[in-house]
Amino acid sequence: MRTLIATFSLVLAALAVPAFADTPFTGKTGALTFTVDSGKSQIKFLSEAPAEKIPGTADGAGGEFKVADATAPGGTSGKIIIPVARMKTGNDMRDKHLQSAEWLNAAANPNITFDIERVEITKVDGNRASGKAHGKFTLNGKSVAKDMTIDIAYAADKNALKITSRFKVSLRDHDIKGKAGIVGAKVGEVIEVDATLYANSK
Amino acid sequence: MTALACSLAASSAWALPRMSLTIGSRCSNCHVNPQGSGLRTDSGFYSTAQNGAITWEQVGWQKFHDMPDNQLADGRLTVGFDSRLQMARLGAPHWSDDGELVTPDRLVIPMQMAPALSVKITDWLSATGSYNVSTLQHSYLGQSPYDAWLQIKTSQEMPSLRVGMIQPTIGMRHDDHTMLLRRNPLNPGLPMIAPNWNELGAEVTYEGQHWISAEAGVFMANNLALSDSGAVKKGDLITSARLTLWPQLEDYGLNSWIGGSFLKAGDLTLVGSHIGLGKPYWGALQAEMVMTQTAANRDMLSWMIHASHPLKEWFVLEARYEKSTGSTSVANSNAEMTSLVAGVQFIPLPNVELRPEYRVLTTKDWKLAQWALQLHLWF
Amino acid sequence: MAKAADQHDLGVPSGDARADVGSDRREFLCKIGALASAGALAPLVVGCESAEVFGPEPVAGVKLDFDITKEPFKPLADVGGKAKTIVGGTPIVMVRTTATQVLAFKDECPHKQCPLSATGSWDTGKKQLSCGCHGAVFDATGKAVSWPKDGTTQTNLKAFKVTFASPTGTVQA
Repeated sequence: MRTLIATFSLVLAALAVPAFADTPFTGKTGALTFTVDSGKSQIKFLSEAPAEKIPGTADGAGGEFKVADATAPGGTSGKIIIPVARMKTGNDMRDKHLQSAEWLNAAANPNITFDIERVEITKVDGNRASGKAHGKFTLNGKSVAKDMTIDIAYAADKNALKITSRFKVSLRDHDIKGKAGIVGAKVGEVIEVDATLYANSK
Repeated sequence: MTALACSLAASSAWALPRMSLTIGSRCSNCHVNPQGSGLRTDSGFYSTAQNGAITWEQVGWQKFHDMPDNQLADGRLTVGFDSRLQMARLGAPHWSDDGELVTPDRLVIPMQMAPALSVKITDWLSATGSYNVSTLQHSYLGQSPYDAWLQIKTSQEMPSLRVGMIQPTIGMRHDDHTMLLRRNPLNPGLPMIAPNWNELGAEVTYEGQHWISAEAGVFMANNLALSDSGAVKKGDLITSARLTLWPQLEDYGLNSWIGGSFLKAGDLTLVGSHIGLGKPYWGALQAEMVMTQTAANRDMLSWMIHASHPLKEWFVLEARYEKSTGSTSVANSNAEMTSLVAGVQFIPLPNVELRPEYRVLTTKDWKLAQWALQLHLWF
Repeated sequence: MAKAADQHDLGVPSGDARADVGSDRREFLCKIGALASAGALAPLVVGCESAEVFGPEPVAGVKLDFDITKEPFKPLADVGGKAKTIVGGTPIVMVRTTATQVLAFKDECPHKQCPLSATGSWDTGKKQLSCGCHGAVFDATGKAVSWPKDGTTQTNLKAFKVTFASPTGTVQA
């Protein structure tokens, strides 16, 4: 009987190990709060249309998110904030145009936000992990539910995180119409976004 | 040898290919004419409407500052205006009959005073035209006072067709008649291809993908027969074609174009190539080459390199070096010209441009170094 | 710098003529200055301007013998043919006007100094030389008979004395 209990315990323990490995936060327990490093993070975006390909960058991404339990990062929540005013397309006047009421309406909606509701980790390899962040993406004041594929790298010694994500944003989803005839011809209806966020935890 | 003279010391620069390299956009995104130059699209209008050392808002013209575009009647009409006044020494240093060395006088000449209009007749048909009033007072042989065309364009993805008085597309359009690319060193007194050169004909333009553009046209020689009468006769058929690739290396933040062009008219064959590299906020480098040959063995090779660097979007340093060589067995001669131009594109107020330039033009027979100044007003 | 080497053969003293000539160093500084200066400063540096004509000052009275069977005078073998040469430092365009006549003019249109050897064409019927640059027209004596309407002063084209007995002749600057 004692042998049976011991064997069962070993099996349970063996099963428990993968459960603990479903997190890149090796050796960490409890809650972790991360603040996005605005200076280091960078977001690139690309509009591709028959007439024009417009690459751009969005600096100054900020925000904060909380990993409720480092051993089970699924319960992560928080908010990523991207100031529209920091979006650059390689031309000052085009940037002003981008921020105008016809497009992103920076005056009324100064930030693009992603409210993280939960995270789903699908693969873990040491301090690296990949999965999806589920949440609400808000652009031009209009929110849509969004699942973003994410790749995470955790530096335990610095307690810092690098998150990369590639996703697409439909202008139509966010009621961005621009000037008649421009979207689809000169500006892509779908914008590709390549985000690299760095975040630190105290 | 001959103290060749030219009324070519004045600058024009009606089109700015450097803009396409720094912005990463084809000329047609900012100009109604797919080659660039002249009437601006709503995007082109907006791109310059608030660019100046002092904005219209700061001088109290809020309405002008806030003007969203240059369109009327719900976008059916696009209106524009370009006016250029050039101050420069026209002509070449030469000996007078009395044995005195004559330096050309500095003159002020109207280069351009051209209202322009584009009418969207249907979703796929438009009519565009402009008339340069200043040609009534001053024009170059072969310079067309107007351009006018009908354009059929069903969508961005499909080729478009233009029919009317249009310029056959070759190389990058600079519209700067001082550039050696379109001059004949054997006859520097006259642009081989005049500024605002247009011919009656038709051209197909394809810009269906952002990384490629292609043009092919057929025209009837009239103005080219005036500016290059040695090679082209009135009524000769002109065929022209240009292919340009527009690679954008977004990982490096670089925009570029590379292409080649071909033109055949009468006895004249022209082959050209153009390449450019630009980085947003940093500037642009361009190089262009033109080779021409005639049946009478007149051979010419012209090339230029051009660098620009914006200290501010309204204050751009520019420099250009050009060389042109030519030979002909008929006249039993050869010629060479070099040109160095360094200057500034200064936009004190939106829609107002000052372009001071230092120009050194050297031929085998003479050299003229001078300051020139252009005032450009546009809408 | 290219010089008119053939002028030495004509016994003409060599040397460049300059008006408000600047040294190489000054020109270099001008170019740098052009890049560095703001537009408003441009009028202050007009001193950087210079004009030069390479080759000697023209000398009057110099004669040149020519032979239309030899270059550069071969084009004169045909009526309407043009040849260019330099006599006494003066650029000259020669035109075969008839079977027995060759005329010589200064190879600079007095309107905008276009080289008539390149742009000029002889009308055998009207006996007129027209400049292809801007349309000035001159008669056989060089008198301007038509002038571009651009406000510039109508000026005659300088003609030179020619004696011709095919295939040789003499032109005097």
